[in-house]
Amino acid sequence: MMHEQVSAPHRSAVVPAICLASACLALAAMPSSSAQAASEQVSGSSAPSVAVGPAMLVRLSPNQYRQVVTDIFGSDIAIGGRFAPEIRQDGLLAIGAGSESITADELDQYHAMAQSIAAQVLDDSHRAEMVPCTPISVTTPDDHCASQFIAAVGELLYRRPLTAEELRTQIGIAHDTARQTRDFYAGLQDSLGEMLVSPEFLFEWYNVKGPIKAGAPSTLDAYARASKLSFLLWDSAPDQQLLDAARRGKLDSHKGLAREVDRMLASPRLQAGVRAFFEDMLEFQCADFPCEDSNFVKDTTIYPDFTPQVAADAEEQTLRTLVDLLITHDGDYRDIFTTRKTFLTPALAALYGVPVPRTAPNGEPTPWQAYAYAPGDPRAGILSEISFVAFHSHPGLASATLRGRALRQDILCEKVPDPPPNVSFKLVMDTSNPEYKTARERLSAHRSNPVCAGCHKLMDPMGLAMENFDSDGSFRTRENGVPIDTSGELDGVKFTGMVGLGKTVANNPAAPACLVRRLAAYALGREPTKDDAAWVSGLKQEFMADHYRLPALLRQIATSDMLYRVEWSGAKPSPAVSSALASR
Amino acid sequence: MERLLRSFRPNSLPALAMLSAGAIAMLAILPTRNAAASETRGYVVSLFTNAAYSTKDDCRDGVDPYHVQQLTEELVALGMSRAKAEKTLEVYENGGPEAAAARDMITNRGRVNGKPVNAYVNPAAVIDPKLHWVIGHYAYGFNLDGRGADSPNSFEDPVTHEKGVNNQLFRVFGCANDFRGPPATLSTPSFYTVEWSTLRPSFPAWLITISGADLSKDGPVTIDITRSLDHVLLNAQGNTESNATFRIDPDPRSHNVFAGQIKDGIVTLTDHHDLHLLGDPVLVSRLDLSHTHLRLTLKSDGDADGIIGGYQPWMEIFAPIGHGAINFEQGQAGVDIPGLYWALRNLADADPDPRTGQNQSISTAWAIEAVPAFIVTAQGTALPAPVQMTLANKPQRSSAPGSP
Repeated sequence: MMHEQVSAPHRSAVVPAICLASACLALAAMPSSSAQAASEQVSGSSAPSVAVGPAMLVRLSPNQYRQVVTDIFGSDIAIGGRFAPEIRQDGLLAIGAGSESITADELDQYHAMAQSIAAQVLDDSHRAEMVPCTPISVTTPDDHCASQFIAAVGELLYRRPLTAEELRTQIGIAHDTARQTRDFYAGLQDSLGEMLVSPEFLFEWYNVKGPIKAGAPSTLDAYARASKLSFLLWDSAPDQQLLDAARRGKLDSHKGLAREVDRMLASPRLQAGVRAFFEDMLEFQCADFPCEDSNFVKDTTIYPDFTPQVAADAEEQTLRTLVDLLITHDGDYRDIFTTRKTFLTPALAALYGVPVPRTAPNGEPTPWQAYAYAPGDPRAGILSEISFVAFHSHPGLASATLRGRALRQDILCEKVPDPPPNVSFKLVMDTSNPEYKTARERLSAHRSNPVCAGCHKLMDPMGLAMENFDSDGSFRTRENGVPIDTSGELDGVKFTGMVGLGKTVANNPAAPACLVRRLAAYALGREPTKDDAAWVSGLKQEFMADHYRLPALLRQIATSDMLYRVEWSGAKPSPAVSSALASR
Repeated sequence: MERLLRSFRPNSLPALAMLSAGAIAMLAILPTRNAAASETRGYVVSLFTNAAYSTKDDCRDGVDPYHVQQLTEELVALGMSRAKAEKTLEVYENGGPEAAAARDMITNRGRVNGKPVNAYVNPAAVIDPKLHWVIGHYAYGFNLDGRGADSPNSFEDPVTHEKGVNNQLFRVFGCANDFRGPPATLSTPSFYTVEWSTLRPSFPAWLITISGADLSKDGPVTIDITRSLDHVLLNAQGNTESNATFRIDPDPRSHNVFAGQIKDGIVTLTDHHDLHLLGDPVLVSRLDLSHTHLRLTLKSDGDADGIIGGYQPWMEIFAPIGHGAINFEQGQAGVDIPGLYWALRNLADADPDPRTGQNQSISTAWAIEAVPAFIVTAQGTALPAPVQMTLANKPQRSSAPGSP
């Protein structure tokens, strides 16, 4: 499986042609003359494009970076630095990751993180556990021992065995540094630091087997399959068992692939994968970046109970609710909109207005506690949780429109156009207007403008049913002293309040269909096209037949040939492109 | 049982029937309840400060002098020349290495047998600087001695207009700038307010529960005043978080149950036995009251505020401030600490020592504010779930006009 024909310069040269926009890590790291030559090699129409199949080069998300480092080196390795914001495309960060590059500034950040991680991994307290051999001397190079460490760690970092050239290069780095510093471990540290800023680590490479021919299908090679499986199901790199399966060719057969998929679905690590998907689908903001950049910041003069802790806990609440229902209990996906079971912390409970006592000493985090809303409670389902109603609101005002739009787009996969640039929101935002005291009245007046009415009728009837929940997610029954009318309608079905909305969404076929489409897009790293329509349609049928169980849907996707099949369009690719995408 | 909820109403019965057995067992340790109670509201104390109703010209000689001036006079009284005393204070105020000696001189301005001693540890060894006392007509408080308008040195409450209000603590504090309050100043007394706000999240909270048949109507109620095992949570403005959950500290030293009544939304006590509450050693180490009185307004926004008072050992008021020593004297409290000692001692009006005749307690009134809270038993680790969310008291918030 391992080929040696791709030298580092060649590999770097094709990066911009196959996926990246402007400043690219590989080119940035290359001498300018080489970069120029490389660009010329792949310019023009010589590069094929992917017509069907997964995105071929995907940047690791911040969470994946952290998880991979933790999985390989342990949770006591601190990961400092700051990740760049991710790009959301077609509703998912996972799709945006396929078109992300790395700027020089970001490379500096990666470099700093790499140096810090490498220093910790090889410090006095970790090296005995991390390095599988004892060097002849700690003050001189030992290429034999260095190669054992580099080969083992390199395979986990690159998600494939290092090529002979790569191994030679890394041993050379370790040797030179050890000789100059008279420190064997400094050499390993240098080598590890280099691997951690390599494009082979920072990007998921989905290489194909065999020659690339425009119009002829290819399939991902075994290690690319392992990566695809692992990042889909665990949001992390393949473990050694999966890499071994790839090495032995087990992933090339449906039977072998299914065996590994079943093992991964049974692993506790599946929760991390499921959490990552829903974080992406539900547009959660606080996991990797400060909540200050999102609507999770509230005007604290109006909403003093909405603390940063509440914002962080709110996302975690929904993720725990989802994992508990969909994974722990293998429940029906549609029930996420109606379930009364959730998890709370004392801080969240205070905003929800329910009692949850501390179970840990003062000053220490209190463990999450299972909680069930009582029958008759106005809350049920994840749409009633703060992560939805607060996030899809303005900092100082609840928003039926934002909530309705999020429901249409994120939950039902329907596109809602952006508002026209010249529209005035003055009437909607003026909560002091004595004529329009409630959001329903203000939006009704706003919809008198026919330019606005078209889209608002898609969003408002659902969003207004959530008006019992203020911008911070707290419950209310009146606005400006006027009782709130929470009657609503979705695709002709009338209902009242959040509980009624949850039931209506759960009964709407678009909800599970949307999950299938989003999960397929998440797995592929791109929005499904008409060429994928039959596959996605089949997945929907299977999902329904499996009673809307998420693990069953994940199994269908993960064992599907469509996840690994690549078809090319365009002219005959150049030798450089072909070799870059070929198995190594 | 209803203590488990911030506001419990009969329609919560199905939910309460599902409480864990452990939670129900815990209820057995709770004080005897008002048999007619079917609604309980829980509160956590969010502010505790001296109740000050300061008015213009309520101090005969004005408010107490600035501490530099006060200390200068005290050093002069010890025999130091005025020039040297002023220089000593100047050096101290300017800080630096030379200030240490001046600081020692100020700290050790007490005299025992002519020898310098620490003034904060031995306040009686300092010549009484005779701090100014309030001579005004009004003070928050209660008619503790039952003598009404005939009670000597009494005030009129500015809210209830009850005559014969006994609040000598206000007379003590009321002419010190950091203890004065509205309407003469714009804000609540700064010393206790600031200190309480600073320390609030780091010591066990104080809890109040009001139980009655229907708290929206006049009638008898039961009032529990207890301490929690838990500290308060703070909201984004740094204030006490509403609707948080608190476990009652099972320590019997802080359990108090009073009979009372609610009238026009105001809760008062109908029995006036002692109250004992452990506090924070830095600020209010404990609150021990006899002839306990309470006036608590249950506000429409869900919060509560009012005053609590009684006769209190004046040494437990003095001690935390005295222990703050020179830092409190010239920083947070801004009051001459030996002077405070003498004022408390001189104005104490209850509990005479049988041997010396010195009154050991002083009439007090403390301002309290409280926000809604869920109050559960000490073993409340088992969440009483599912519990019906009851929102009868929840403030109905509207988004601010003109919000973006």
